[in-house]
Amino acid sequence: MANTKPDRREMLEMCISRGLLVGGAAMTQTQLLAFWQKTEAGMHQPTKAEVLGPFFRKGAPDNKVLRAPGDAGFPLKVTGRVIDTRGRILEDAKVDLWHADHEGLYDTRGYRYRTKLSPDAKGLYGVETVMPGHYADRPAQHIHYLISAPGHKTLITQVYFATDPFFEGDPVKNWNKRGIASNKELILPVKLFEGPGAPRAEVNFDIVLEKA
Amino acid sequence: MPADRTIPVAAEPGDIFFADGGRHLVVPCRDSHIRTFETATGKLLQDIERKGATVVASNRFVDRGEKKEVRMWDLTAERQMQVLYNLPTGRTVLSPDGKYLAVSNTAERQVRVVDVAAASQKHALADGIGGTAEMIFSPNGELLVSANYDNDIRVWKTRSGELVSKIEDMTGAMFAGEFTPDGKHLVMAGLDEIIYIRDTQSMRVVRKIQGHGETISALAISPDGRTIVTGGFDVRTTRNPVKVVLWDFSSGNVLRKLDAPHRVVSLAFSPDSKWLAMTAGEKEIALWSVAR
Repeated sequence: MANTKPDRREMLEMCISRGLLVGGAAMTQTQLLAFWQKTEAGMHQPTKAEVLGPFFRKGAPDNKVLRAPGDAGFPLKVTGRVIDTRGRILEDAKVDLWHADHEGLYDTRGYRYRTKLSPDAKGLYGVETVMPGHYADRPAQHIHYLISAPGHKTLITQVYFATDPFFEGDPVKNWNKRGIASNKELILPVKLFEGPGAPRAEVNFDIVLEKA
Repeated sequence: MPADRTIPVAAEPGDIFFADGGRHLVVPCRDSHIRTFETATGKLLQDIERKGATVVASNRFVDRGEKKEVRMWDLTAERQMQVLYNLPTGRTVLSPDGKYLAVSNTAERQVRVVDVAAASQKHALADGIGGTAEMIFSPNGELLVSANYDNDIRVWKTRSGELVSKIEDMTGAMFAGEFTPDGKHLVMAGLDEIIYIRDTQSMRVVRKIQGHGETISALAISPDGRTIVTGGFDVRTTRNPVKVVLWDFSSGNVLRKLDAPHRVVSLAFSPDSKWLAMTAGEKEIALWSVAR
Protein backbone atom coordinates (compact mmCIF):
# COMPACT_ATOMS: atom_id res chain seq x y z
CA MET A 1 0.00 0.00 0.00
CA ALA A 2 1.37 3.40 -0.94
CA ASN A 3 2.27 5.79 1.85
CA THR A 4 -0.52 8.39 1.79
CA LYS A 5 0.47 10.16 4.99
CA PRO A 6 0.53 13.91 4.23
CA ASP A 7 3.62 15.91 5.00
CA ARG A 8 3.49 18.81 7.37
CA ARG A 9 2.84 21.42 4.67
CA GLU A 10 0.01 19.36 3.18
CA MET A 11 -1.45 18.87 6.64
CA LEU A 12 -1.34 22.60 7.29
CA GLU A 13 -3.01 23.38 3.97
CA MET A 14 -5.71 20.78 4.62
CA CYS A 15 -6.37 22.23 8.07
CA ILE A 16 -6.67 25.75 6.66
CA SER A 17 -8.95 24.68 3.79
CA ARG A 18 -11.24 22.76 6.17
CA GLY A 19 -11.45 25.56 8.66
CA LEU A 20 -9.65 23.57 11.31
CA LEU A 21 -6.96 26.15 11.59
CA VAL A 22 -7.60 29.87 11.32
CA GLY A 23 -5.32 32.82 11.74
CA GLY A 24 -6.09 35.83 13.87
CA ALA A 25 -8.37 38.51 12.47
CA ALA A 26 -5.54 40.20 10.61
CA MET A 27 -4.04 36.98 9.21
CA THR A 28 -5.01 35.66 5.81
CA GLN A 29 -4.35 32.13 4.69
CA THR A 30 -1.44 33.40 2.61
CA GLN A 31 0.00 35.17 5.62
CA LEU A 32 -0.42 32.07 7.73
CA LEU A 33 1.43 29.99 5.18
CA ALA A 34 4.17 32.61 4.99
CA PHE A 35 4.43 32.56 8.79
CA TRP A 36 4.72 28.79 8.72
CA GLN A 37 7.38 28.93 6.02
CA LYS A 38 9.35 31.43 8.09
CA THR A 39 9.11 29.08 11.07
CA GLU A 40 10.28 26.21 8.91
CA ALA A 41 13.26 28.29 7.76
CA GLY A 42 14.28 28.57 11.41
CA MET A 43 14.26 24.83 11.84
CA HIS A 44 17.50 23.11 12.72
CA GLN A 45 18.75 20.27 10.61
CA PRO A 46 19.35 17.04 12.52
CA THR A 47 23.01 16.43 13.20
CA LYS A 48 24.62 14.09 10.71
CA ALA A 49 25.23 10.52 11.79
CA GLU A 50 28.39 8.44 11.61
CA VAL A 51 29.20 4.86 12.56
CA LEU A 52 29.55 3.74 16.16
CA GLY A 53 32.89 2.01 15.72
CA PRO A 54 34.17 -0.94 17.75
CA PHE A 55 35.37 0.87 20.88
CA PHE A 56 32.12 1.97 22.56
CA ARG A 57 31.72 0.85 26.18
CA LYS A 58 28.38 1.11 27.86
CA GLY A 59 28.21 2.29 31.46
CA ALA A 60 30.61 5.24 31.49
CA PRO A 61 30.31 7.47 34.59
CA ASP A 62 29.01 11.06 34.30
CA ASN A 63 32.38 12.77 34.45
CA LYS A 64 32.93 16.34 33.28
CA VAL A 65 36.70 16.26 33.75
CA LEU A 66 38.38 13.48 31.81
CA ARG A 67 41.85 15.06 31.87
CA ALA A 68 43.65 13.86 34.98
CA PRO A 69 46.46 15.97 36.50
CA GLY A 70 49.67 15.25 34.66
CA ASP A 71 47.93 13.70 31.65
CA ALA A 72 49.94 14.15 28.46
CA GLY A 73 48.13 15.74 25.53
CA PHE A 74 46.89 19.16 24.50
CA PRO A 75 44.13 20.35 26.86
CA LEU A 76 40.76 20.44 25.13
CA LYS A 77 37.39 21.72 26.26
CA VAL A 78 34.34 20.42 24.42
CA THR A 79 31.03 22.19 24.88
CA GLY A 80 27.68 22.28 23.16
CA ARG A 81 23.98 21.93 23.67
CA VAL A 82 21.43 19.31 22.81
CA ILE A 83 18.28 20.57 21.10
CA ASP A 84 15.48 19.33 18.87
CA THR A 85 14.86 20.47 15.30
CA ARG A 86 12.78 23.41 16.58
CA GLY A 87 15.61 24.58 18.79
CA ARG A 88 14.02 23.41 22.02
CA ILE A 89 16.35 22.27 24.77
CA LEU A 90 16.37 18.54 25.47
CA GLU A 91 17.01 18.51 29.18
CA ASP A 92 16.63 14.76 29.54
CA ALA A 93 19.24 13.97 26.91
CA LYS A 94 22.22 11.77 27.66
CA VAL A 95 25.51 12.32 25.86
CA ASP A 96 27.92 9.41 25.70
CA LEU A 97 31.30 10.68 24.57
CA TRP A 98 34.54 8.72 24.13
CA HIS A 99 37.87 9.09 22.40
CA ALA A 100 41.42 7.79 22.25
CA ASP A 101 44.17 9.24 24.44
CA HIS A 102 46.80 11.57 23.01
CA GLU A 103 48.70 8.58 21.63
CA GLY A 104 45.66 7.21 19.82
CA LEU A 105 44.92 4.44 22.29
CA TYR A 106 41.42 3.63 23.57
CA ASP A 107 40.93 2.40 27.09
CA THR A 108 39.30 -1.00 26.54
CA ARG A 109 39.50 -2.09 30.19
CA GLY A 110 38.17 1.00 31.99
CA TYR A 111 36.53 4.34 31.29
CA ARG A 112 39.46 6.67 30.72
CA TYR A 113 38.37 9.39 28.27
CA ARG A 114 34.84 8.06 28.37
CA THR A 115 31.84 9.78 29.92
CA LYS A 116 28.07 9.86 29.85
CA LEU A 117 26.92 13.43 30.43
CA SER A 118 23.56 14.88 31.38
CA PRO A 119 23.14 18.37 29.89
CA ASP A 120 22.12 21.11 32.35
CA ALA A 121 18.80 22.98 32.39
CA LYS A 122 19.97 25.12 29.47
CA GLY A 123 20.73 22.01 27.47
CA LEU A 124 24.46 22.61 27.78
CA TYR A 125 27.06 19.91 28.17
CA GLY A 126 30.79 20.33 28.61
CA VAL A 127 33.84 18.25 29.25
CA GLU A 128 37.52 18.94 29.96
CA THR A 129 39.73 16.45 28.18
CA VAL A 130 42.75 16.22 25.87
CA MET A 131 43.00 16.37 22.11
CA PRO A 132 42.67 12.74 20.88
CA GLY A 133 45.72 11.26 19.21
CA HIS A 134 46.10 9.71 15.82
CA TYR A 135 46.17 5.98 15.22
CA ALA A 136 47.15 4.12 12.13
CA ASP A 137 43.82 2.53 11.27
CA ARG A 138 41.90 5.81 11.45
CA PRO A 139 44.35 8.62 11.11
CA ALA A 140 42.16 11.68 11.83
CA GLN A 141 41.66 12.89 15.41
CA HIS A 142 38.06 12.32 16.41
CA ILE A 143 35.59 12.08 19.28
CA HIS A 144 32.71 9.60 19.26
CA TYR A 145 29.21 10.52 20.41
CA LEU A 146 26.07 8.56 21.21
CA ILE A 147 23.20 10.88 22.16
CA SER A 148 19.76 9.83 23.29
CA ALA A 149 16.68 11.68 24.53
CA PRO A 150 13.18 10.43 25.25
CA GLY A 151 10.95 10.63 22.18
CA HIS A 152 13.88 11.24 19.84
CA LYS A 153 16.00 9.11 17.55
CA THR A 154 19.26 8.06 19.15
CA LEU A 155 22.11 9.66 17.26
CA ILE A 156 25.51 8.11 16.72
CA THR A 157 28.13 10.44 15.31
CA GLN A 158 31.73 11.64 15.46
CA VAL A 159 33.45 15.01 15.31
CA TYR A 160 36.80 15.98 13.83
CA PHE A 161 39.09 18.99 14.22
CA ALA A 162 39.83 21.60 11.58
CA THR A 163 43.33 22.03 13.04
CA ASP A 164 44.18 18.36 12.55
CA PRO A 165 47.31 18.04 10.35
CA PHE A 166 45.42 15.22 8.61
CA PHE A 167 43.39 17.90 6.79
CA GLU A 168 46.60 19.61 5.63
CA GLY A 169 45.50 23.07 6.73
CA ASP A 170 42.51 23.08 4.39
CA PRO A 171 39.57 21.16 5.89
CA VAL A 172 37.16 22.71 3.38
CA LYS A 173 39.07 21.12 0.53
CA ASN A 174 40.26 17.97 2.29
CA TRP A 175 37.28 17.15 4.51
CA ASN A 176 36.65 13.83 2.78
CA LYS A 177 40.29 12.78 2.57
CA ARG A 178 40.52 8.97 2.56
CA GLY A 179 36.81 8.84 3.32
CA ILE A 180 37.41 9.21 7.06
CA ALA A 181 34.85 11.96 7.78
CA SER A 182 31.46 11.44 6.19
CA ASN A 183 30.35 15.07 6.35
CA LYS A 184 32.20 18.38 6.42
CA GLU A 185 29.79 19.72 9.05
CA LEU A 186 31.36 17.34 11.50
CA ILE A 187 34.79 18.97 11.20
CA LEU A 188 34.75 21.55 13.97
CA PRO A 189 36.58 24.88 14.06
CA VAL A 190 39.02 24.97 16.95
CA LYS A 191 39.68 27.99 19.17
CA LEU A 192 43.23 28.04 20.46
CA PHE A 193 44.08 30.00 23.60
CA GLU A 194 47.42 31.12 24.93
CA GLY A 195 48.08 33.31 27.93
CA PRO A 196 48.24 32.51 31.63
CA GLY A 197 48.52 28.84 32.40
CA ALA A 198 48.82 26.18 29.78
CA PRO A 199 47.61 26.72 26.23
CA ARG A 200 44.33 25.04 25.45
CA ALA A 201 41.84 24.35 22.68
CA GLU A 202 38.08 24.65 22.68
CA VAL A 203 35.45 23.33 20.35
CA ASN A 204 31.69 23.70 20.35
CA PHE A 205 29.42 20.98 19.03
CA ASP A 206 25.68 21.55 19.13
CA ILE A 207 23.64 18.41 18.67
CA VAL A 208 20.22 18.39 17.01
CA LEU A 209 18.05 15.31 17.48
CA GLU A 210 14.99 14.53 15.41
CA LYS A 211 11.79 13.08 16.76
CA ALA A 212 11.48 9.34 16.86
CA MET B 1 55.13 -19.95 18.62
CA PRO B 2 55.22 -19.53 14.83
CA ALA B 3 53.04 -21.68 12.60
CA ASP B 4 53.94 -25.32 12.00
CA ARG B 5 53.08 -24.83 8.35
CA THR B 6 51.99 -22.01 6.11
CA ILE B 7 50.19 -22.08 2.80
CA PRO B 8 50.96 -19.09 0.60
CA VAL B 9 47.90 -17.31 -0.85
CA ALA B 10 48.02 -14.85 -3.74
CA ALA B 11 45.99 -12.25 -1.83
CA GLU B 12 45.19 -11.68 1.83
CA PRO B 13 42.65 -14.33 2.94
CA GLY B 14 39.60 -13.64 5.11
CA ASP B 15 37.31 -16.09 6.96
CA ILE B 16 38.67 -19.61 6.73
CA PHE B 17 36.72 -22.89 6.42
CA PHE B 18 37.78 -26.53 6.53
CA ALA B 19 35.91 -28.44 3.81
CA ASP B 20 35.49 -31.98 2.59
CA GLY B 21 36.14 -33.57 5.98
CA GLY B 22 39.19 -31.40 6.57
CA ARG B 23 40.97 -32.33 3.35
CA HIS B 24 40.44 -28.85 1.91
CA LEU B 25 40.72 -25.28 3.09
CA VAL B 26 38.48 -22.59 1.60
CA VAL B 27 39.27 -18.88 1.86
CA PRO B 28 37.73 -15.77 0.32
CA CYS B 29 40.54 -13.37 -0.53
CA ARG B 30 41.02 -9.63 -0.74
CA ASP B 31 41.34 -9.78 -4.53
CA SER B 32 37.72 -11.09 -4.80
CA HIS B 33 38.86 -14.65 -5.48
CA ILE B 34 37.69 -17.67 -3.52
CA ARG B 35 40.50 -20.20 -3.29
CA THR B 36 40.46 -23.83 -2.20
CA PHE B 37 43.65 -25.57 -1.10
CA GLU B 38 44.53 -29.15 -0.30
CA THR B 39 45.23 -29.07 3.44
CA ALA B 40 47.98 -31.68 3.43
CA THR B 41 50.01 -30.28 0.54
CA GLY B 42 48.92 -26.65 0.20
CA LYS B 43 48.14 -27.32 -3.47
CA LEU B 44 45.69 -24.84 -5.02
CA LEU B 45 42.67 -26.86 -6.14
CA GLN B 46 40.14 -24.22 -7.16
CA ASP B 47 40.34 -20.49 -7.81
CA ILE B 48 37.23 -18.57 -8.83
CA GLU B 49 36.72 -14.82 -9.09
CA ARG B 50 33.50 -13.47 -7.55
CA LYS B 51 33.28 -9.78 -6.73
CA GLY B 52 31.48 -9.01 -3.47
CA ALA B 53 31.06 -12.67 -2.57
CA THR B 54 30.75 -13.91 1.00
CA VAL B 55 31.63 -17.50 1.84
CA VAL B 56 28.90 -18.59 4.27
CA ALA B 57 29.81 -22.27 4.63
CA SER B 58 32.56 -24.59 3.47
CA ASN B 59 30.69 -25.26 0.22
CA ARG B 60 28.39 -22.23 -0.07
CA PHE B 61 28.90 -18.63 -1.03
CA VAL B 62 26.57 -15.75 -1.82
CA ASP B 63 27.01 -12.83 -4.18
CA ARG B 64 24.83 -10.19 -5.87
CA GLY B 65 23.32 -10.29 -9.32
CA GLU B 66 22.59 -7.43 -11.71
CA LYS B 67 19.34 -6.58 -9.93
CA LYS B 68 21.06 -6.69 -6.53
CA GLU B 69 19.45 -10.06 -5.87
CA VAL B 70 21.33 -12.40 -3.56
CA ARG B 71 22.49 -15.54 -5.32
CA MET B 72 23.54 -18.61 -3.38
CA TRP B 73 26.10 -20.89 -4.99
CA ASP B 74 27.46 -24.36 -4.52
CA LEU B 75 31.19 -23.60 -4.42
CA THR B 76 32.60 -26.93 -5.56
CA ALA B 77 30.24 -27.25 -8.52
CA GLU B 78 30.15 -23.47 -9.17
CA ARG B 79 26.42 -23.93 -9.56
CA GLN B 80 23.78 -21.35 -8.66
CA MET B 81 21.33 -22.86 -6.17
CA GLN B 82 18.94 -20.14 -5.09
CA VAL B 83 18.05 -16.50 -5.71
CA LEU B 84 16.80 -14.25 -2.92
CA TYR B 85 15.31 -10.81 -3.54
CA ASN B 86 14.89 -7.63 -1.53
CA LEU B 87 17.72 -8.16 0.88
CA PRO B 88 19.98 -5.34 2.01
CA THR B 89 23.74 -5.63 2.03
CA GLY B 90 25.38 -6.47 5.32
CA ARG B 91 26.87 -9.22 7.42
CA THR B 92 25.50 -12.51 6.11
CA VAL B 93 25.49 -15.90 7.83
CA LEU B 94 23.99 -19.28 6.96
CA SER B 95 22.56 -21.69 9.52
CA PRO B 96 24.56 -24.94 9.81
CA ASP B 97 21.71 -26.92 8.24
CA GLY B 98 21.61 -24.46 5.33
CA LYS B 99 17.93 -23.66 5.89
CA TYR B 100 18.17 -20.05 7.00
CA LEU B 101 20.18 -17.07 5.86
CA ALA B 102 20.48 -14.07 8.17
CA VAL B 103 21.47 -10.62 6.89
CA SER B 104 22.19 -7.71 9.21
CA ASN B 105 22.14 -4.14 7.94
CA THR B 106 23.39 -1.32 10.18
CA ALA B 107 21.22 1.42 8.66
CA GLU B 108 18.05 -0.66 9.03
CA ARG B 109 18.98 -1.64 12.58
CA GLN B 110 17.49 -5.05 11.95
CA VAL B 111 18.35 -8.60 11.02
CA ARG B 112 16.45 -10.24 8.17
CA VAL B 113 15.98 -13.98 8.32
CA VAL B 114 15.28 -15.77 5.08
CA ASP B 115 13.98 -19.30 4.50
CA VAL B 116 16.45 -20.37 1.81
CA ALA B 117 14.42 -23.20 0.25
CA ALA B 118 11.26 -21.08 0.01
CA ALA B 119 13.29 -18.00 -1.02
CA SER B 120 11.14 -15.89 1.26
CA GLN B 121 11.79 -13.61 4.17
CA LYS B 122 10.58 -15.04 7.46
CA HIS B 123 11.42 -12.24 9.87
CA ALA B 124 12.75 -8.71 10.13
CA LEU B 125 14.12 -8.62 13.66
CA ALA B 126 14.80 -5.34 15.47
CA ASP B 127 18.50 -5.20 16.31
CA GLY B 128 20.64 -2.69 18.16
CA ILE B 129 21.67 0.78 17.07
CA GLY B 130 25.35 0.24 16.43
CA GLY B 131 25.54 -2.48 13.79
CA THR B 132 26.25 -6.17 14.16
CA ALA B 133 29.70 -7.09 15.41
CA GLU B 134 29.08 -10.83 15.32
CA MET B 135 26.16 -13.02 14.24
CA ILE B 136 25.95 -16.79 14.74
CA PHE B 137 23.47 -19.64 14.55
CA SER B 138 23.38 -22.46 17.09
CA PRO B 139 24.56 -25.87 15.80
CA ASN B 140 20.97 -27.07 15.28
CA GLY B 141 19.99 -23.74 13.71
CA GLU B 142 17.27 -23.08 16.29
CA LEU B 143 18.85 -19.96 17.78
CA LEU B 144 20.26 -16.87 16.12
CA VAL B 145 22.56 -14.55 18.05
CA SER B 146 23.48 -10.99 17.13
CA ALA B 147 26.11 -9.16 19.16
CA ASN B 148 25.91 -5.44 18.46
CA TYR B 149 28.55 -2.71 18.63
CA ASP B 150 26.23 -0.99 21.13
CA ASN B 151 27.30 -3.83 23.50
CA ASP B 152 23.92 -5.60 23.61
CA ILE B 153 23.40 -9.19 22.51
CA ARG B 154 20.08 -10.44 21.18
CA VAL B 155 19.06 -14.09 20.88
CA TRP B 156 16.09 -15.12 18.76
CA LYS B 157 14.35 -18.37 17.92
CA THR B 158 15.11 -18.71 14.25
CA ARG B 159 11.84 -20.29 13.24
CA SER B 160 9.43 -18.05 15.13
CA GLY B 161 11.50 -14.89 15.34
CA GLU B 162 10.76 -14.70 19.07
CA LEU B 163 13.30 -12.70 21.05
CA VAL B 164 14.31 -15.14 23.76
CA SER B 165 17.01 -13.05 25.38
CA LYS B 166 18.34 -9.51 25.29
CA ILE B 167 21.64 -9.40 27.11
CA GLU B 168 22.34 -5.87 28.28
CA ASP B 169 24.95 -6.40 30.97
CA MET B 170 27.99 -6.27 28.66
CA THR B 171 30.28 -3.24 28.65
CA GLY B 172 32.08 -3.86 25.39
CA ALA B 173 31.20 -5.30 22.00
CA MET B 174 31.63 -9.02 21.38
CA PHE B 175 33.54 -9.40 18.13
CA ALA B 176 33.64 -13.18 18.01
CA GLY B 177 31.59 -16.09 19.22
CA GLU B 178 30.61 -19.69 18.73
CA PHE B 179 28.31 -22.24 20.28
CA THR B 180 29.85 -25.37 21.72
CA PRO B 181 29.20 -28.36 19.41
CA ASP B 182 26.59 -29.76 21.83
CA GLY B 183 24.77 -26.41 21.79
CA LYS B 184 24.81 -26.14 25.57
CA HIS B 185 27.07 -23.11 25.78
CA LEU B 186 27.54 -19.87 23.91
CA VAL B 187 31.12 -18.60 24.03
CA MET B 188 31.81 -14.97 23.13
CA ALA B 189 34.69 -12.52 23.47
CA GLY B 190 35.65 -9.07 22.26
CA LEU B 191 36.67 -5.62 23.36
CA ASP B 192 37.19 -6.28 27.06
CA GLU B 193 39.54 -9.28 26.50
CA ILE B 194 37.35 -11.65 28.54
CA ILE B 195 35.86 -14.93 27.29
CA TYR B 196 32.24 -15.25 28.44
CA ILE B 197 30.72 -18.71 28.59
CA ARG B 198 26.93 -18.66 28.78
CA ASP B 199 24.44 -21.41 29.45
CA THR B 200 22.17 -21.40 26.41
CA GLN B 201 19.07 -22.26 28.43
CA SER B 202 19.29 -19.19 30.66
CA MET B 203 21.85 -17.19 28.64
CA ARG B 204 23.50 -16.36 31.96
CA VAL B 205 27.30 -16.24 32.23
CA VAL B 206 28.40 -19.44 33.92
CA ARG B 207 32.13 -18.86 33.58
CA LYS B 208 34.59 -16.18 32.52
CA ILE B 209 38.08 -16.85 31.26
CA GLN B 210 40.56 -14.01 31.56
CA GLY B 211 44.17 -13.68 30.54
CA HIS B 212 44.35 -13.28 26.79
CA GLY B 213 45.61 -9.75 27.41
CA GLU B 214 44.40 -8.29 24.13
CA THR B 215 41.08 -7.38 22.61
CA ILE B 216 39.80 -10.59 21.04
CA SER B 217 38.87 -10.49 17.36
CA ALA B 218 38.45 -14.19 16.56
CA LEU B 219 37.36 -17.30 18.41
CA ALA B 220 36.75 -20.97 17.63
CA ILE B 221 35.85 -24.10 19.54
CA SER B 222 37.24 -27.49 18.56
CA PRO B 223 34.66 -29.97 17.23
CA ASP B 224 35.42 -32.30 20.17
CA GLY B 225 34.42 -29.42 22.47
CA ARG B 226 37.63 -29.60 24.52
CA THR B 227 39.48 -26.51 23.29
CA ILE B 228 38.72 -22.83 22.81
CA VAL B 229 41.07 -20.70 20.76
CA THR B 230 41.13 -16.91 20.80
CA GLY B 231 42.94 -14.54 18.44
CA GLY B 232 43.98 -11.04 19.41
CA PHE B 233 43.75 -7.52 18.11
CA ASP B 234 46.03 -4.68 19.17
CA VAL B 235 43.70 -1.67 19.35
CA ARG B 236 46.55 0.69 18.33
CA THR B 237 46.62 -0.86 14.88
CA THR B 238 45.51 -4.03 13.17
CA ARG B 239 49.07 -4.36 11.82
CA ASN B 240 50.78 -5.06 15.16
CA PRO B 241 51.68 -8.67 16.06
CA VAL B 242 49.32 -10.37 18.51
CA LYS B 243 48.76 -13.65 20.31
CA VAL B 244 46.64 -16.70 19.67
CA VAL B 245 45.77 -18.58 22.85
CA LEU B 246 44.49 -22.16 23.17
CA TRP B 247 42.43 -22.78 26.32
CA ASP B 248 41.16 -25.93 27.94
CA PHE B 249 37.37 -25.56 27.86
CA SER B 250 36.74 -27.32 31.18
CA SER B 251 39.40 -25.70 33.34
CA GLY B 252 39.99 -22.43 31.52
CA ASN B 253 43.74 -23.10 31.68
CA VAL B 254 46.07 -21.96 28.92
CA LEU B 255 47.23 -24.86 26.78
CA ARG B 256 49.48 -23.00 24.34
CA LYS B 257 50.27 -19.51 23.14
CA LEU B 258 50.92 -18.97 19.45
CA ASP B 259 52.04 -15.95 17.42
CA ALA B 260 50.05 -14.06 14.82
CA PRO B 261 51.62 -11.41 12.59
CA HIS B 262 48.65 -9.00 12.77
CA ARG B 263 45.05 -8.82 13.97
CA VAL B 264 43.62 -12.33 13.79
CA VAL B 265 40.93 -12.37 11.10
CA SER B 266 39.75 -15.94 11.38
CA LEU B 267 40.40 -19.21 13.23
CA ALA B 268 39.09 -22.70 12.43
CA PHE B 269 39.68 -26.20 13.74
CA SER B 270 39.78 -29.21 11.43
CA PRO B 271 36.83 -31.61 11.91
CA ASP B 272 39.11 -34.04 13.83
CA SER B 273 40.19 -31.17 16.14
CA LYS B 274 43.85 -31.90 15.32
CA TRP B 275 44.68 -28.85 13.22
CA LEU B 276 44.15 -25.15 13.74
CA ALA B 277 44.04 -22.82 10.73
CA MET B 278 44.41 -19.05 10.96
CA THR B 279 44.32 -16.01 8.72
CA ALA B 280 45.83 -12.82 10.10
CA GLY B 281 46.50 -10.13 7.52
CA GLU B 282 49.32 -11.87 5.66
CA LYS B 283 49.16 -13.55 2.27
CA GLU B 284 49.12 -16.99 3.84
CA ILE B 285 47.17 -19.51 5.85
CA ALA B 286 48.91 -20.53 9.07
CA LEU B 287 48.46 -24.09 10.36
CA TRP B 288 49.35 -25.59 13.74
CA SER B 289 49.13 -29.17 14.88
CA VAL B 290 47.03 -28.93 18.04
CA ALA B 291 46.19 -32.60 18.73
CA ARG B 292 45.65 -33.31 22.43
